[in-house]
Amino acid sequence: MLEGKFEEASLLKKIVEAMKDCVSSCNFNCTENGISVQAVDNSRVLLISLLIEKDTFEEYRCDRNITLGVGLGSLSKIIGNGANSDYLTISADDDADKLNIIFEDKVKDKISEYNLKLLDIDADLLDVGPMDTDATITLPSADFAKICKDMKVLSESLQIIVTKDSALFQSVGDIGTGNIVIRPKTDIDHPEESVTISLDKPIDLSFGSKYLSDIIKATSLSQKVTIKLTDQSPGVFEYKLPSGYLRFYLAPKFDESN
Amino acid sequence: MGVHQLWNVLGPTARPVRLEALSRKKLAVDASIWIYQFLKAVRDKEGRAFASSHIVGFFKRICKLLFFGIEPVFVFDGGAPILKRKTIAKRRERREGKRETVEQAAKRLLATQLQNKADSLTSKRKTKKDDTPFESYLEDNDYLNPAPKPSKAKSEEPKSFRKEDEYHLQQLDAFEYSAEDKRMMINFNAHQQAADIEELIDSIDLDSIDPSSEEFLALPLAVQYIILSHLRLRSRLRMGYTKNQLNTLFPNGMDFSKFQIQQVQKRNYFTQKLMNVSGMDATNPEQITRRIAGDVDKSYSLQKNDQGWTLALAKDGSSASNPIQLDDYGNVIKTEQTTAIKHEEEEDEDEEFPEEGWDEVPLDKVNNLPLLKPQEDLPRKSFMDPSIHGGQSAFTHEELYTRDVEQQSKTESLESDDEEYNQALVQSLYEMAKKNKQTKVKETSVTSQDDLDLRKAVEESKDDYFALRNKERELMFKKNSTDENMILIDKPVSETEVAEKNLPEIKFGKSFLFKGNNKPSEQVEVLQKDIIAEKNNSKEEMLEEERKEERESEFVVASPISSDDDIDLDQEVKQKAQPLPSWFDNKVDQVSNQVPFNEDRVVDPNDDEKAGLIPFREIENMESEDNSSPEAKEAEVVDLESPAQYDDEPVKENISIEEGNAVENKPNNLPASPNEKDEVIDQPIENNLKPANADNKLLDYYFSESEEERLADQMMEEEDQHEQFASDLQKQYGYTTSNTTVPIYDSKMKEQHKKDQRDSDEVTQGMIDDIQDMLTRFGIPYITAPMEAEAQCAELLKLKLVDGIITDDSDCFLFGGERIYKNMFNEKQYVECYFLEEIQRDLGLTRNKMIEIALLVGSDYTEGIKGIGIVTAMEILSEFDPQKEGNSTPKNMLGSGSLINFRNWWMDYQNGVPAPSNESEIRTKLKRKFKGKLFLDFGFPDPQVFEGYLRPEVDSDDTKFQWGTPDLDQLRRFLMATVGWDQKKVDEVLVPVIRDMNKKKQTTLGEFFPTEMLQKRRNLTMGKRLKSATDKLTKNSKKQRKG
Repeated sequence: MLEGKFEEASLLKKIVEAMKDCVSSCNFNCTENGISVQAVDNSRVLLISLLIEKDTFEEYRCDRNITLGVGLGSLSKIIGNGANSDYLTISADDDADKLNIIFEDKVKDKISEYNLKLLDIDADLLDVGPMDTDATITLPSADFAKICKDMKVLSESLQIIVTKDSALFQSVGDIGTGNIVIRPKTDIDHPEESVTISLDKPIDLSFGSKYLSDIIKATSLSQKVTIKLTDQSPGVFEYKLPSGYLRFYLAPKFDESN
Repeated sequence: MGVHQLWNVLGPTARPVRLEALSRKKLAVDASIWIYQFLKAVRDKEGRAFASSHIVGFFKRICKLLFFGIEPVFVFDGGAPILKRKTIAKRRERREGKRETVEQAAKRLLATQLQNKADSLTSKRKTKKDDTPFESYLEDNDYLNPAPKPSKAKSEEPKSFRKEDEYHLQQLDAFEYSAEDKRMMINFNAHQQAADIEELIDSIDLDSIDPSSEEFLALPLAVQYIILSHLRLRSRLRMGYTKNQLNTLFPNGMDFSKFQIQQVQKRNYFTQKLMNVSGMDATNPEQITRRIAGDVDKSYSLQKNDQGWTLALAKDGSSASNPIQLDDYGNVIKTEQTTAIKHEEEEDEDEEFPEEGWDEVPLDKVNNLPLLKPQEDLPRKSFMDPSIHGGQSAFTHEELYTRDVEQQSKTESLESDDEEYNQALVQSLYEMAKKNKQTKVKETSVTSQDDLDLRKAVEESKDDYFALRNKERELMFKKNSTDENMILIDKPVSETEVAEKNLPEIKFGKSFLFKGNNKPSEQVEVLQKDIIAEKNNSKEEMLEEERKEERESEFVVASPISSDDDIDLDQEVKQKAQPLPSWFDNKVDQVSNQVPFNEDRVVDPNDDEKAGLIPFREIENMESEDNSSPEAKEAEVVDLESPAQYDDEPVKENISIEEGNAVENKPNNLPASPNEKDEVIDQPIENNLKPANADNKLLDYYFSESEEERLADQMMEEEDQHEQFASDLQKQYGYTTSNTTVPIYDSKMKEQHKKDQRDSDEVTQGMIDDIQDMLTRFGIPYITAPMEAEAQCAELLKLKLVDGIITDDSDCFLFGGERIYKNMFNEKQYVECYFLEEIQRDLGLTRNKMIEIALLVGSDYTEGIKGIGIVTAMEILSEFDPQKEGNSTPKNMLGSGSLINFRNWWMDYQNGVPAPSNESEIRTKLKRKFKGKLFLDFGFPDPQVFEGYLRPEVDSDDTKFQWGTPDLDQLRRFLMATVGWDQKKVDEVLVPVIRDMNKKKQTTLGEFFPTEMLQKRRNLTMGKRLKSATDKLTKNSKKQRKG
């Protein structure tokens, strides 16, 4: 028996919105500690790793581990029916073939209940172990979203070059080139506006713009985004949840010589 | 291909994979199946095959692979393992209705009886009711004697006995029958008789039987019938030989043709006999009048007379008085006065084939003859020598004129044509000769008198291909022409005269003309495209030549002009001791230098390629360092071309003829396309001006960008125009009018082509060479497997040289291919990906088990068991799995041992061992289904098959593959030369692909994170029986794993 109650429906809404464009369906693995998801887009370039910890919920219980195969498009439609401020409760029996979704209006005495049919998804998992990180950039998520959008205009790939005191986002395309440099900055009044760059090794990686624009759909989840880069490895883009995270692992683009 | 129906079972385990997800993956491509596919599939699309379908197909697929960043390794078949060849041969035998041997029959009978015994023992044990009345036996006997069954048998005991197959006989306590009842033939007698006859036939040399002899007639009808039907079967055209085998049997195509015709003849005869014997014949066997072919108001009748059969045209009532006489075997006995109605059977008389009759080459073509042998006697020379231009052009004009008239009038009435030509015949002997030919083109019908005369003249220059074509065309024209009789009367006289007079000359000329004519116009175009490309590449003459040679074999396939003929031709040329280049030079002069003068004659209004050819020739001149003697250069060009078109023989004549053909044929179509004509005229002149300033260019120069583009554009436009023109032509004249030789030619050619293609299912080395050449230009590695490509692919995967295998052949799993991508090139977004591991997990099928399936259902290596489909096979595997009882597979056992269990169980049954009463449902079902049909012995799970799959002959070299980048220039040239694509067309596809390749490659996460395979068995949607079988199998394998 799974039962989880969100203080606000908007959180799950945002999470689903962030995921549904690159993954059509995924398994929600529910344990006593929370709900986790691992899903890979069908070109196997972008991996989504979601963890909603128990503390995120107002109330949470999960007696036995349950895997819920959910079509994200359908889930998004149903969640869209509720108001952002509603209480949202998801529940499922053990061996259930459907997921119950209940919205409770906080002001009016109104309860909406929905059932979502579950799917049998047999996706293989990728073993994403702990990764070494050569460089970490933390910046306001809105800034990162703008960089990605702006650079996508020029080229289908975005090059990220991290040096000791700056991060350069570069895009070279047929119509021209673009460079955006950001430097570390500490804003005490608005800590969310701070930019930090920590570096062990200079980094030069390229990513597909197409996938980056999928990633920035999660912008509304968190004010900050943390980018962890390692040479010759997928980049990790992490949006923090109140308790938990939504991470994107994006495979880089390589020159043919590699 | 592969294991029969295996994909149906494996299908549900497929994982859809996006093509993008395969980026940067190294995949082994089983290419041999591709060529085969293109051969099979591509030709159907357009109704005809084009010789380079495999190149186009490969090109498109390679581009797709490269576009998605896949790094392919192409693997070609090296050869077919003995096992495979055997299986294929066996299958063919079975298809062709070879009966089982007496031994097999005996075995089968014995086993049937034993099985019956076992059954009855088992059933007696259960139910003690077994009283068998005689009548019910009759019911079962209907396979021997399809007499009406006594109805009372049914009513008396309708359900007591249900036979499960035709050999299932009820146990009889007593057996009685009336000796007089002719319908009755007791089991023993029937088999005895069948066996007797079989034995008889097996023991006699069928060839020694003369079915027309008295002794034969004295034989019992049944025996006669069987012998005849055997003989008839044996006379089937190919007799089970493959094309290659036939090639070795008949190295000369002519021989084969003769042989074929003989067989047709024989078969016809046997069929007749058979009809007689079986009483299918008419009531009066002496006089059969049956419509065999003909027009609405015409019929040919076949009559039996003292000597044999008479074929006659019934329309004019002359059937009796003026018959075609056939000898015993139905050969047409030619008589001088016979009208030229050709019976089908006449084709065996290929000696007498009127090759010249179908010569559609007009007068001006013959003008080329003196080029070949200018020191011919004077009058002829004056007429034919191209140097005497006045006469020639005059003649040409005349020719053109008559052709015009022809075209105008032909739709109205053929008769008027004939008259016209007959009038023309009188004018001069030479003209007569030509006219005759022309008339014949129209009418295509020659008396046998002609045949005999002309045969002498052309004997050496015949080829079987042409003979066949002739025949076809003749048959067609026969329908069209209504006035042939009239012409035929006129013709023999003049024709004979001419033939006799011109004997040496015609002999020579004809052979060339045939050559030219044999080419489909379409092919001429292709060749010319080649030539164009050739010019383009003068810097790599050697390379080109090589390539040409490869391609050449392809052409031979497309139009089977045997090299023998070329040799003949060559010999003739040598006899004349004529230096070849001189005539060719002359020719070139005509073509390129004297354009204004030869306008009418040389200019080809509709041949786009031709138009292209001239500029290219000029460019060739300007490219060459030594510009002093353009003639010599031209000769060089010919040298280059010749090996391309004909085997190793340096038969330059052919090329010239082809070119000549293309040129000369044009006037035919002149009226239709005046505008194109103008264009073409302009072009050569324009190009003539160019060479001057380009003298110093190096050999490796090809066109400047703009020039290249211009030429390419031109080509494009011309191609479009040509298509337009062709369609116009078709609309205008249609296929039915006999005068438009080109369309007819085309359609006939297409038919022939299709046939050729169908016959040549086999992938030729030339095709493979083409592809490999292209792969080299793409920078894609390829290997030729020692034996089967699928096995080599599996080996590459095992050696970790590749990440997966692209194949549609399910055999690959049996060779150990663990990761197979199927349907790579369907227009779907997803590729089906199969993992051996998942197949085992979801279906319980291991590699060994799949081999066992192959042994049951059949594959390339084994015929399988008739009647066992994939589902039954799965059931057998699950039922007889030794792991089912928890036993592990014994080490020395073949496969998983299931089949051995199965065989032992079945052999017990076969030998009459009563089964335990608690047999499972599957076993009883199997017994019911295969009783009397399936006979196993200790040889059953053939260890050779296991051996073949488990230890295939492969190359285990683990050198890593290297990928290069496509060479755009080289590919352009290649495609230009092989499929005639211009730069634009090539670039359309290739440039984006190459550009994309040079960009950074998107990696996939799989390269960084190991994949954890799902451990849980998936729930796949499949049939109920399959489901329970796979459930069992997976359970068993789990047990096995635990134990």
